[in-house]
Amino acid sequence: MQPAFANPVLETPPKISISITEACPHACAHCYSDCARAPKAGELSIPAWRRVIDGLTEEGFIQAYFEGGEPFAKPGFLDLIETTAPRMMTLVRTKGAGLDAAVADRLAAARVGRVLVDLMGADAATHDATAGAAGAFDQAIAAIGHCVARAIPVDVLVVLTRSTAPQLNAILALAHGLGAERVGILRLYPLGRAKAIWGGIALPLADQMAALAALAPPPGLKVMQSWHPRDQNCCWQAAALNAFGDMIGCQYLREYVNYGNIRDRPYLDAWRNDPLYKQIRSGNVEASCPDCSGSQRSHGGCRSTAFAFHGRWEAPDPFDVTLNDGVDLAVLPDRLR
Amino acid sequence: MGLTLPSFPTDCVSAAPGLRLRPVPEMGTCLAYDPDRARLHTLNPTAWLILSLCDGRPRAAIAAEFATTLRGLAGPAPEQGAFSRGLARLMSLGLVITGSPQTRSSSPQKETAP
Repeated sequence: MQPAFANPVLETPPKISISITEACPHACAHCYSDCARAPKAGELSIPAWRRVIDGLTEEGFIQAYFEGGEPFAKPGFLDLIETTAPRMMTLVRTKGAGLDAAVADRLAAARVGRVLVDLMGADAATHDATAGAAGAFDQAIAAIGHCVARAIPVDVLVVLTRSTAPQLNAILALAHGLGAERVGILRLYPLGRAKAIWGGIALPLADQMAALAALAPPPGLKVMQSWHPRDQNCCWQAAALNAFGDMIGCQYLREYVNYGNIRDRPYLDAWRNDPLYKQIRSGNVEASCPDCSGSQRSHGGCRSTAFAFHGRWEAPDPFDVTLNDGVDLAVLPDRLR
Repeated sequence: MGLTLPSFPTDCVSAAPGLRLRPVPEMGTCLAYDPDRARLHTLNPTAWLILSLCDGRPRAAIAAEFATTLRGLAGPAPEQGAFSRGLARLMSLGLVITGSPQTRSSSPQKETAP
């Protein structure tokens, strides 16, 4: 029987996100990877990542989005960037730690396409308290400045929480003033350390929507967000590797799936043959929001939060007001606590 | 600012050096990565076809092959001037340059989906 809903189908994915390390000098309260200062046992080395990038290039990937942990905490990361950027559009997400003027020079010379910097508040007190590191805010601000000064496009990313919600417009103004092109407002995911403090940082959906409705971005600043009516089920095009080389489809699925390790299996083998990967990409869901499917061409919204709150891959995404169905997003299901 | 074409039909045009093309036929698009400008473009079928034909030949010869190729395809004919507008747009983005490719390595890396 034909499913009621179906996502677009890609024979092969062109873009991939790579968590290069789970080491980070910060101690963010909501860290999705439960990062520590030291790398974890089993993380791929830079030479191993070089081989992975070679393979991904041969498999047709044309964009690589690096994140962490803190990518710049990985020794040799810049060398990897310099060998990746000539072949793939290269983006780097950072908290700014380690992105000083000299590093920005190398990023510019390597032709990095975009740097995305996390802000956890509009001021040092808020940001540093969440980052668990004094001076983290100043590092992030400086990193943005170093990139903008070298004409590297910059996005600011902010996770919508109880502490950032009242500061969203201040963050938009700050980002614009610093020269960022766009601000991405991201949902809070129940992953890693965020689960342990969920009740203290997560907002009910109505409060999230109110915070988004109150956004007043400065002229010229683009704001990106994925709530209704733009709740996308982007799994149909998603490819991701964690720091250990495990194929996980999307970084937000890191605790739920593992399609095998890239050292043992080409990415396209998992893409084409793993039953769960194919199922998650299919868009075969129980309910679809017409507005979101109309704008995003996909169905059911984010699979990570749908699975987190319902425990079913076909479940509706409770972050969508039309699919929420009474789920209190400020309270985690028992199995996630 | 208006888009401009090479001055003469005899001017040769080529894909920019180092360009990497990644067809996404399922979506009817082609991704074009320009490492010099660090930009990833999504090309529609018309732009994709024009770019794939820009191999250093004179503009008039490419225009003729563009028209011949389209005549052999099903589907609606493109609007009048589609080639000129498409080529001008590709040139404004830096994806096509005037002149023949100097070396083989400067030709775009064309890929088929694996």
